Amino acid sequence: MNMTPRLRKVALTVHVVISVGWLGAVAGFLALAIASLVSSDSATVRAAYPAMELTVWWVIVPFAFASLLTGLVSSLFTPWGLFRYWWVLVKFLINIFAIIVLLEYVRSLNSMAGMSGESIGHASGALLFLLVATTLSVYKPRGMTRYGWRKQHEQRTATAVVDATTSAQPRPSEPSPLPGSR
Amino acid sequence: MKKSLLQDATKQGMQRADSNSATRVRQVHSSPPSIPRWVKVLAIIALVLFLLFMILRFTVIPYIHSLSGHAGFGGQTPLTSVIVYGGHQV
Repeated sequence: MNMTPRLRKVALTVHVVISVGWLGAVAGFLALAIASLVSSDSATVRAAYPAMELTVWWVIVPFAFASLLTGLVSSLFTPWGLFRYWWVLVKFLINIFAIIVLLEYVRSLNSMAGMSGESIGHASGALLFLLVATTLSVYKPRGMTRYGWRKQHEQRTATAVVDATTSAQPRPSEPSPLPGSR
Repeated sequence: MKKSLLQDATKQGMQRADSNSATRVRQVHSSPPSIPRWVKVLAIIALVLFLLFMILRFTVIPYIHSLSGHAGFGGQTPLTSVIVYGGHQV
């Protein structure tokens, strides 16, 4: 089932806004993590931790799940599909991996063990992965998966069969051949 | 003579049409396509990063933790641990 072009644009806009918002939130989180680690000002460090926690809980986690959801909607209900093109599949895998790492990090954040240089590592890794995902969405590199190729092949065959049957049938305007005319 | 000239012109025209990307018919693979090069490159980079992370996790990171746990870095407790853990050595 495919969406109408108007609905497709709405879904794509929501997906882009949320994904770019996720990227920006991770960049902000990285800045806070660096500031909390290198700053000699205790007030800055003290203020950075609640800000980091709020950013994670109220922006990064919701945006990560929303990005996955809107991405699934944008792929499954359009001709792109989820498993047909390599760039869509790689983006999906990046999203899943980023969410798993994020949830692991959130668990460590609860025990205060995440408040260390590990935050910088996590944020840098996340930023790298999200940049790769964004680049893939913009460039859409070529390459169809085996599944996508098979689906396309099936569709082509089905279209060819339909064309052949419709052209073989006599048109309503054409006179039907008489039984004894051969 | 005329016929061969006509054949040459037709052949050239067909070649030009083939080389023009706008008029080229989309290539239809008769066999399943192989994995694109960029996917292989990305997979290799991801594998290298993962191995690097695992090496760091089991060698360098525990070492840094042990240093900071025993008031390393010149005997000073890092400011972050003072604030997070209320000034207690962890």
